[in-house]
Amino acid sequence: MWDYLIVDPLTNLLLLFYQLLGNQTMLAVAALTLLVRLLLTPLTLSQQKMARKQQELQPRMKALQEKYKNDRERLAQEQMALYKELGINPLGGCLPMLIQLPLMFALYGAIIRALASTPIALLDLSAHIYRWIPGLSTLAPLNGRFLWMDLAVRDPFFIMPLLVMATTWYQQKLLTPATANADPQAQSMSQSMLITMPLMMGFFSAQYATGLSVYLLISNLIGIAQYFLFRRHYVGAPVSGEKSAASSAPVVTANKASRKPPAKAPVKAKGK
Amino acid sequence: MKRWWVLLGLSLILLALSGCVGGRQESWAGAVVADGVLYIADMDHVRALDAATGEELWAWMPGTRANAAATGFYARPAYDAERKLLLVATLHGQEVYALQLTDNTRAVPGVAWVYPREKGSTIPLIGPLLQALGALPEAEGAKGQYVAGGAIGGDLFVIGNGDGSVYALRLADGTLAWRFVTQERVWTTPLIVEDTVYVASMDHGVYALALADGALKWKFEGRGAFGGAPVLVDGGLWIGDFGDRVYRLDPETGAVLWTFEEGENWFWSAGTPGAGRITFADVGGNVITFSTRTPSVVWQQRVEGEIFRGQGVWSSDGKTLYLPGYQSGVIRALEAATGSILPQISVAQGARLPGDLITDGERIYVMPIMAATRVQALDAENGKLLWQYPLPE
Repeated sequence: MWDYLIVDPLTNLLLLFYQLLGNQTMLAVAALTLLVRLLLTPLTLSQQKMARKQQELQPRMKALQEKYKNDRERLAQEQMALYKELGINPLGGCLPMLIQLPLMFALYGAIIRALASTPIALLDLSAHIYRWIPGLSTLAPLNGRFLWMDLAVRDPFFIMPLLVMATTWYQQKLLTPATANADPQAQSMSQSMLITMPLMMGFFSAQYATGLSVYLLISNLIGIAQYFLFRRHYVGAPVSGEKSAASSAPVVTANKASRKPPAKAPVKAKGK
Repeated sequence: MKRWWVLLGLSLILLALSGCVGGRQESWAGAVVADGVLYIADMDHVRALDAATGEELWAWMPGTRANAAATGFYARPAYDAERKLLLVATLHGQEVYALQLTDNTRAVPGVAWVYPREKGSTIPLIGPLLQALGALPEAEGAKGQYVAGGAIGGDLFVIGNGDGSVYALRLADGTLAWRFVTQERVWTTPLIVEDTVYVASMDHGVYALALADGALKWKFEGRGAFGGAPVLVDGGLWIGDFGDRVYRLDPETGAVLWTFEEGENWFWSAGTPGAGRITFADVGGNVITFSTRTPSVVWQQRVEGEIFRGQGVWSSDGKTLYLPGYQSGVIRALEAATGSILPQISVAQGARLPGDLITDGERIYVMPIMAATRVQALDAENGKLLWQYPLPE
């Protein structure tokens, strides 16, 4: 069912892009990744907004936890009241992620399937091509050569894994909230992710077909572009009912913004 | 402290995942029968089995140079009777080995030669980059996977590679005689007829090359990629492509003599010739038999839900056509005269059959994948199981 509903359409869309873009796999992968990321943009932004709001709430949450540390029931009630007051859905950050992640995995699955690096993979691809789209079935196997790379095998020079690591690190750095007022535990986690995520992505890129690296690299670049294009969602706009929250100094912004002195300009990222 | 725990946890996940990555890969076994011995290249081993009993005579693996776990064989071995050489090529190792057989069928063969003699650059990481930039001489040998076996013609062993090239190696010492470059992967076994090498490529081309020096005689451009080898029968070169077509070409000029355009799916396997006919089976389960003298369709049959990838064989009496069913993992039997479906032959639970069926006239050999059983020998007349390797525990 997963294949039928998600991976197959993406695989065929990739083949279609390949056909339309002059049989260039690299361009087809870039186009498909861009399309999926664009379709997911509202969810990404909503997720970022929620994550930022949650961060900004931290001091008030902490105060509540301190106040009602012996009354769990009351604490839960107060927390819910706070969420309600500020119009935040506690699961609002997870839901977009739950939708995005499977789609991103499916996108990766479609790319790897279309690249068909082994005979068995190519055989598998044959069963998933929409034969009602003219000319699609004659495209396989895709031309996987681009510059020094064969997208169906690992990059022998490790250039792509290094690029993936660099862009993952940069994207992660942009998206990691400033740590000044955050929970130390969250700070620690963020810092760990800043190191481990690029390493992990670099490791996957080095182990798997270069097609994965292309996908990860393009995805990262789009993520970075999205950050700069929709910066206010990431850096922070005032949260409704924030007056009281602001007074307890929750200036939680992305790293770049946090370099400015926060005390004089609390939560002013709208660029008026 | 907490941070280090997180790091440790993620490292463990990485370690577990790297275990998955380095796991043993399934291969696509091929075999050749000669002098009562069945030679199979399967997973990471080459084995010699007594063709009559299935007893293992010897096993060999290229463990000295290549990473055995990453080696794997897809390509069918080739046998040079004159020099008693068994030629095998590895999938990922990008090497061709010539094993020197002796009269003692139980003796593990030695390596007569290996191509390339030296494996790439000795400078890790930077070496291949410098080679690509031209700062170091290009490494000898293929850069892609050997998927299909090679063919022997004269003093040469000719084999295609995933890097798009066709390599002709001297049987005497394994040195490169010539190399012909196509634009895509060559996953088909060349056909050598007298002084011509016919080879099909995934770049939609069928090439006729001079055996002596690899010079191009002619090229034919198909509608789709070519995954199966050409077959010469009744003066026509028959081949199917991924454009759902079957062609009959003039072997001298490459001109199209006849085309079957009503195909419904990829023709991946080579045709199975016999008694003035040739049968092609596609990956959508369609089986079509053509008359080779006056090209026309004799019969068509559809085997529901089946995927055909490997080449079939005829029963010894010519009455039954056996085809390896990849999807079902069973051998499909069809009546040669009409294409009527006969009772299938089960092979192994959960198995798949991507490879060609092999026959020596007496027995039909089938090599399943994704199963503990790696080889089965069937009676070539009635399809009954004679032996299997390894023996079930």
